[in-house]
Amino acid sequence: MHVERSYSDAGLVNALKDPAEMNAAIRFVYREYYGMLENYVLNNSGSRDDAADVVQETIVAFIEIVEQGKFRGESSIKSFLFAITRNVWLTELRKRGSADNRNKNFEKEKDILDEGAANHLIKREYFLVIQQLFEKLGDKCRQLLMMVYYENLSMSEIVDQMPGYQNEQVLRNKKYKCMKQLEQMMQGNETLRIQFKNALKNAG
Amino acid sequence: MQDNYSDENIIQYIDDEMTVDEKQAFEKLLQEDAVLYGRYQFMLAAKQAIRSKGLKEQVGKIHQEYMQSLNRPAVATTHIPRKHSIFKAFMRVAAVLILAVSGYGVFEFGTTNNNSLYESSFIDYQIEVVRGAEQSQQIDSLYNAKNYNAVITAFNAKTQKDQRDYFIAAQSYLHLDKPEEAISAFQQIEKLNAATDSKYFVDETDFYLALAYIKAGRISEAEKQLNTITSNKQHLFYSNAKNISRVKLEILQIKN
Repeated sequence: MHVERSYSDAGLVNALKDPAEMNAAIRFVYREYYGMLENYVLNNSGSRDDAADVVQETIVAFIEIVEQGKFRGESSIKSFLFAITRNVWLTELRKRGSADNRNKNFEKEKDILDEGAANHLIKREYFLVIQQLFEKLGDKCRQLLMMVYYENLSMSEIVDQMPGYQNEQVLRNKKYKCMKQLEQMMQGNETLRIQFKNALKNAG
Repeated sequence: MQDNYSDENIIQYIDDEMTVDEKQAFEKLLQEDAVLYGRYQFMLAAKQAIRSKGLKEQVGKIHQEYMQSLNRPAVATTHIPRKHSIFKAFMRVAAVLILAVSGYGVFEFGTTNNNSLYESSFIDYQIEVVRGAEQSQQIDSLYNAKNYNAVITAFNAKTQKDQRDYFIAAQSYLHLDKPEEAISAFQQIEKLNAATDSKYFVDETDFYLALAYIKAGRISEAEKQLNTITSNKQHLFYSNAKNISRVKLEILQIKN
């Protein structure tokens, strides 16, 4: 059982940056905004499953934008989430190549987020490809890289959790090898290289 | 061109494992060497994608939890009072309810006005800045810069106006506290949409026109507009319209 917490916009931004508060903040986002965002997808040719995917993508993208200090608070969080959802859903519709006239009209009315946020959403497109390549790494590599880059654990903390590695230096070497392996897979993926090049161009 | 930096160096930089001097030297090279910069961006993307994957799993767990909570029927815990206290308990509850309802009513009546209801329901509308004509781009940019007076000037100077122009002008009028002008602009969109197959901002216009009516104190028209929206569950602003308190609208009817 979780205590339901409420946040102002500024409070929510701070909570999302704090690992200890993040889950409570995400739950708040779901309670406050899920219905509105789901409704948007449902009203624009999407199913409930589509809405579930799009809203999850929206919330992850929003947290990342906040973490990277790219949410400038010029609009309310409600408007900002709505704009991300529109962007994510319209991108998905474009991918599906829908010829539906209504979708075309919505496409024309697509919101644009400020540059930093919009570029982040473009980046997320190739994140998906990298994540698929990441899945091809061995168990140990995946476990280690998640501990380093997602859980933000120090090498000494990881040594405790991965007793197969004698010390921090051995672990550090392993991390380099894993990253190198991932990078090689990324370099070998032409689609990713093109997406990446275009994204860098867009970012100026 | 192949630079002298290994992937290990790039990862050290990304993971903040370099000394201050090493870091400065590396950053200087990043600015000068486009190939190195590209490799660095590639590695950085890998790190961010891994972080993003973890975050997605974290959000996914909460998503599951939320979905389960939606399906869970509300558990009502009923308390059965002893026979001899039923009347007393009923009277107590009734008294509390009367006090609470009348207190709430007085509070609501005192604090509800056109603007308070409008403000609590308004969502700031964001628009894109991707349009063909230079004049249109200018209007979009002015709107995004919140320069609403300039939007109206540019709008008035435009000879050929489409639904989008009227919509941006209407939003600007709302920001400028000119609800009657906003209403006229929204009504123009309705006229244009009625005359063509290419309909734009239909749902948006329904909702924001209702808000403009509230702001202008034209409550009967606002109610009619909101009823149209709430009669259609597929309407984009169904939830937003549903959330506007009918009690408050009644209060405004009386006050206006």
